Amino acid sequence: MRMVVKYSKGKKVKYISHLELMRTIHRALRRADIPVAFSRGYNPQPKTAFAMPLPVGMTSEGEYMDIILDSHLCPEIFCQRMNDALPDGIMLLKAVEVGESLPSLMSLIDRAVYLITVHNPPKDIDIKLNRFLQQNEIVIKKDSKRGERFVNIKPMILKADILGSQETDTAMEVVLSTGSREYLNPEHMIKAFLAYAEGDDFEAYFNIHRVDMLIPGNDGCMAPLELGKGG
Amino acid sequence: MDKAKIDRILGQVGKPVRYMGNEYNMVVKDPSEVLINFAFAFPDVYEVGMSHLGMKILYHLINEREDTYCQRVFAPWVDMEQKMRENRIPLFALETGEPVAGFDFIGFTLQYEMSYTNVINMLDLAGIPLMRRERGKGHPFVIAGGPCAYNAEPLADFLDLVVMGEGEEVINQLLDEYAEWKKQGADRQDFLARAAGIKGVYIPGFYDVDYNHDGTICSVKPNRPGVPSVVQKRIVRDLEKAYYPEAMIVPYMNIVHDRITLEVFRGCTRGCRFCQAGMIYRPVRERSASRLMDLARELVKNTGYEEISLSSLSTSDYSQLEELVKQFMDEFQSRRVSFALPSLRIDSFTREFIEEMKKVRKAGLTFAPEAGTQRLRDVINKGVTEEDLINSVTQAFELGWDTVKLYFMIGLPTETEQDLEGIGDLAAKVRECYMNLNRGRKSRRLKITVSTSSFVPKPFTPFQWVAQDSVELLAQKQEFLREKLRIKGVTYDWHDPELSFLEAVFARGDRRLGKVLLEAWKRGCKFDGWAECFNYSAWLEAFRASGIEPEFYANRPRDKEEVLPWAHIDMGVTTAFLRREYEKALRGELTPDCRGVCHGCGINRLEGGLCP
Repeated sequence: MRMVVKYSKGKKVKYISHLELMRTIHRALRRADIPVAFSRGYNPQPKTAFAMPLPVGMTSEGEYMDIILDSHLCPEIFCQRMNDALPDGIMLLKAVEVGESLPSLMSLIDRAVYLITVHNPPKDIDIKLNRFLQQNEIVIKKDSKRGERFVNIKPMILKADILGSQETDTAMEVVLSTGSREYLNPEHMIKAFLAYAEGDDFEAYFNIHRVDMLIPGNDGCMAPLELGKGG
Repeated sequence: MDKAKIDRILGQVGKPVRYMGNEYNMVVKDPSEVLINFAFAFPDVYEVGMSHLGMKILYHLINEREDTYCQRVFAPWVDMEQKMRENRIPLFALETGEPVAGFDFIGFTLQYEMSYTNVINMLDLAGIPLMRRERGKGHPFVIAGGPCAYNAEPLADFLDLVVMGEGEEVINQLLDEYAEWKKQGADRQDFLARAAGIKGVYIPGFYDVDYNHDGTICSVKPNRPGVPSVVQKRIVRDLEKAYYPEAMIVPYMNIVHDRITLEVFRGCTRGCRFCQAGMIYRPVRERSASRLMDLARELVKNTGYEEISLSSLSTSDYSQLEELVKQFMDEFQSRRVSFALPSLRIDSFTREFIEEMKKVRKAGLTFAPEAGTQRLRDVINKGVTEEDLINSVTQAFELGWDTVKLYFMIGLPTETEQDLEGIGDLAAKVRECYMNLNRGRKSRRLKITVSTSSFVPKPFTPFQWVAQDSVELLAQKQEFLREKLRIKGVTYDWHDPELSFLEAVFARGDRRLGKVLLEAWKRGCKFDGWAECFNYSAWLEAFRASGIEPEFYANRPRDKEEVLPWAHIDMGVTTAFLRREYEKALRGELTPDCRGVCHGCGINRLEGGLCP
């Protein structure tokens, strides 16, 4: 039986890495006595696949994993048993059964919605954001193992809006390419914007929260849970 | 505590998960609702401290008490310390983020001499006065335990209390006494006086040390009435009934020993003469296979760990080992829980065993002949032969292993060039053994790592009187081995002799070294066991500034009559036994495993005799 599971990663666990999160979920599977299938071979691993790792330091209410079980288990009961076995901060929100032949989530997801809260934001942030987005190209420098690279991130910013401000915080909603073909880390985007608005030395403190990840659908986008057999 | 402030700096340091807490099975209580807040402090980073079994036991044991909340604190790594100091964030406990300065106790476990500067640094980061004399009303009591606590004299100026021996029982007695004292609101000295009445509790401030003109110790005497002149260590009588946690914290990060640890027994009957653990953890007490299986079941259920390891000083000596391994495999293999067996003796290495191990994982194997010749192995009472080693590696190679590690010590008492040559010869023989088996075919895959540590004479061992080789001599010996081990397929690893030298200084140090620790800490020394932090020249400056010669402690043979800095501690095994063993060592005489015959080490005097 194959399921797509949506889960959240809260404040208390925002600093655990992707690998650590996987291990945590694998151990919770054993604590919850879930009949997860294992890979064959020399070092058998639970058959789980995680879509688009969340960078360390961010929170999310829209994480997804694929899981294959050896026997049938009602998705609601699965979530309930897992939630009893998970540490504070990681919570399964919903699971749906999907067809065994469905391509991997990783290959389906192509964008993600983020909520970014900027503390002590630049003045006139909405005007500056508009100007930032109206540039012909937005080039950032990326340091990779092969050296420095320059990337135009503009086509990967699918949407960016100011939602509003409260005291010293301003909230933004952005939609960025997030998939196996194109991927923009929201931290790079917000840093590029703040550097554009206030110069390279501007020290900002911000929180990034992933709201959801989306799959291209017939008319626009769909949520991964809509892949479910029943839905 | 301003958790937001901590959260903010966590975004700026490496491995923030070290400081985060909130792991599965972490104990949650309200610190303001308990009478006693206890900070269990490990003077090294999280992934090292969390691997330590004693901490797991005591953390959960203390938290069984309704009146006490035990929280954890580790040494922040250098980057975190800097951020904490910049942002004026004092040392805080992982569970709640509360500053430990407001706790009733901060309890350090002393596993390693070179963590002493971290103890001082952690006190400083906490904002607790470093010296016990400077602490007063409202300050926590600084307490220590663990193997190095048997000679904690170099830390005597910093510690209010020291616990000798196994902590499971004495910690509860101490907390009971504290609870009484706290309710009465008496003064600090009064609590220490009460604590001194508990067996196994040592109050460094209640003893005075006098010195002779030559710098040796004249006497160590209590300076007030009602204090025992000799402090005797604590032993848990019945390990079968002793507390063992059935749920352990499951860290997020990959810690050093990231698995369920099952302690199969305490103590060791082999009597290797260099080994402090083999002396101080006596007598041998086992847990039954059925108790261990019950614990394993509970721990797998409560932690979800994928691996269990059996732990003890010499697991192959466990009397029910075969039975236990079989039960493990039967019950857990299908659930994909594997098991690991560390520290096997090479004379016990049966084919069945290796095959069982192979089912699970095919990592490298480590063998510890400890010395290069039979003569020297007899001196240290290791009791294994070259034949044992060759048999074991042959079996391993036959079963498909290509990677073996050979572990030796250099600088052992009576060592000669022949003994060093013996190390090279053994490595060559192991290689030959592989080549013969594989007729040279797969020779490229063979990897033999020869690793040498430098012998550090430890208190409470038969070698507590001997001089350590000088740094120069150890370096020469390593150079000799580097040449000798230029063999295809063999790599040579060695320990920094300067670090071994300082270990030797502090292992057998006395109270005068407190000054050196403080001076070294002022010069930035911390995490001395970490190569990237170890600053030998700063240490040498610290010795100079304190007017203390480190060679006096490391490189000087002690006279039989000399009063050693730990003369007022009774760790069970008698000095007379240690001396007999030392003399036998010099004659190259073996002392067989004491499970067969008692050699009168003295441990059976304690608790009315607990030897099996």
